[in-house]
Amino acid sequence: MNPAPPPSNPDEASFREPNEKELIRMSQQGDMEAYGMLVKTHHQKVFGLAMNILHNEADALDLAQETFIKAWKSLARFEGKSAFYTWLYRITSNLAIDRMRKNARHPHVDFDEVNLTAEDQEAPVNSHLMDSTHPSTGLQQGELRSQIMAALDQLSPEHRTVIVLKEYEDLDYREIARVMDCNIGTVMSRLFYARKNLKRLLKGIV
Amino acid sequence: MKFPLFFPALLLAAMLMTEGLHAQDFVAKLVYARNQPPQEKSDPGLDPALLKKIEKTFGYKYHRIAAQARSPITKYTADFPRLGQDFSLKIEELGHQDGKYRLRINLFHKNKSLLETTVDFRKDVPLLIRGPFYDQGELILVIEMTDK
Amino acid sequence: MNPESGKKTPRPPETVYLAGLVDGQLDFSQRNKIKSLVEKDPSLIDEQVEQEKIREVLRKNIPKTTCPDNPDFFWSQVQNRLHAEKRRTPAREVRSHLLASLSRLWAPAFGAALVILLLALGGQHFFSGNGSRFAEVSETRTFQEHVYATAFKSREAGVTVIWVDGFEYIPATPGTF
Repeated sequence: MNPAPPPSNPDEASFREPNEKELIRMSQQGDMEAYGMLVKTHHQKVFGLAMNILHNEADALDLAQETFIKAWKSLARFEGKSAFYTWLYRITSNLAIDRMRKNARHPHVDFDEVNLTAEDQEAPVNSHLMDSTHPSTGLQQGELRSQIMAALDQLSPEHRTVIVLKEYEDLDYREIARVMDCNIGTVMSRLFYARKNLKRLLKGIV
Repeated sequence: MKFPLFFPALLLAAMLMTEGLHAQDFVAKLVYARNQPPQEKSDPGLDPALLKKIEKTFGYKYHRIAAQARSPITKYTADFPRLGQDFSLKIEELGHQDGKYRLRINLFHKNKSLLETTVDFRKDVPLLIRGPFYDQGELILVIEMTDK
Repeated sequence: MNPESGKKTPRPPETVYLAGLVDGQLDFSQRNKIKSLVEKDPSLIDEQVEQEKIREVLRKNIPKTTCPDNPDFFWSQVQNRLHAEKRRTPAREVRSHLLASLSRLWAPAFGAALVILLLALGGQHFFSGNGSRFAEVSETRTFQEHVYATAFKSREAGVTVIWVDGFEYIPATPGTF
């Protein structure tokens, strides 16, 4: 990367954009403009997470806005122990999980996490997905994505969220544990069973 | 003195001429923006650069100028020509310097005041105001200062 | 399957370490534990492959998400909602009469100071005559209940916008335009 050119006059040298830490501190003191800059920096990521969990643009947009409203109200409690975006993700995923629970019209198809056995290779649960005539090799990427999305919609809110945080957002287990407010063992367990569920739901495709 | 009113009259004329010299035209356009394609092919009648700004800001695909009006703005003119049957503007100049005009704008719908704003304008630097939802889309008010 | 009882044999809880193994997130002792489990039950290798396959398919098909709102507009929407909530905050939150009377005294004084400051700054800015490519909005008011206006500069679109929410819908009627 090329180094930035030196400022052409001394005034430019004394003026610099505040960094994220400074913006957070200013926001905690009630500076709305500083908070606006934080919102503008992170709105894409927060929307992306909401969208990947909820699969509905209007809901995701509303949830992303709600995240920043809640974050503004709770800013005093942000101690900077984790990255700011991890903290935002925590708010987003909590709100998303709540929303999914409220909107749940049918029971989810997760495995019972206790009684997993070696014989759990029976017929897929989500038959409409499996009725697809597309062989795995013949699926276009768009179709495959739709199938994956439909399968994710069948998971419980926690399983869907953990998959999105790991596979789409590429967070490590420690970060996911922070976001989902659980321990690393639970993250591992949720991921393991979420993937198993997806495998069943996508049988014939994966 | 034979013409006691000559100097005051000259002064007044000079003042009015100076006003006339700096006065710019203000153009207000009420744009009907929507996503449903129009029945017949219509020319939006908007400058492409401005159209791009509207599209980027509001995300609508189709635009039509529903009404537009043009008028110079000075300290002595406040009532702007009406925009269609129901919308009207009152634009008042609060000051100007170096090509920059400070205006107070009032937007009315059926003679009810909707909005008042104070804005500094420069030539060809538009202001967009999101208006009410209308029919299948929204009305967007575009105000800009142009040469006469 | 347990041949004696005919019931399914539960797997040890550490089986979930397979997820951590696939993601490279296990510590030393966890890795040893899962290795020994796989040695005892080779069918766990299939489970590991399954975890890897799903992981790969998901990662190769990450959906592209783009927020439909540009940053300035998104922020203006958040601000609108924050302001709307603020307006809804009941007055009982003022904790005491003393505080209330103090706030009554201080609010106009603070407001006046703010106006003077804004006028001073605005005047300075106005007469500095810089060639901004944005119209500068210094004040916006609405006159109807539930109608809110926010002014912002959309850097992306390169234009100043006054975003008004809450106007009543206007049906299309002949002769309106």
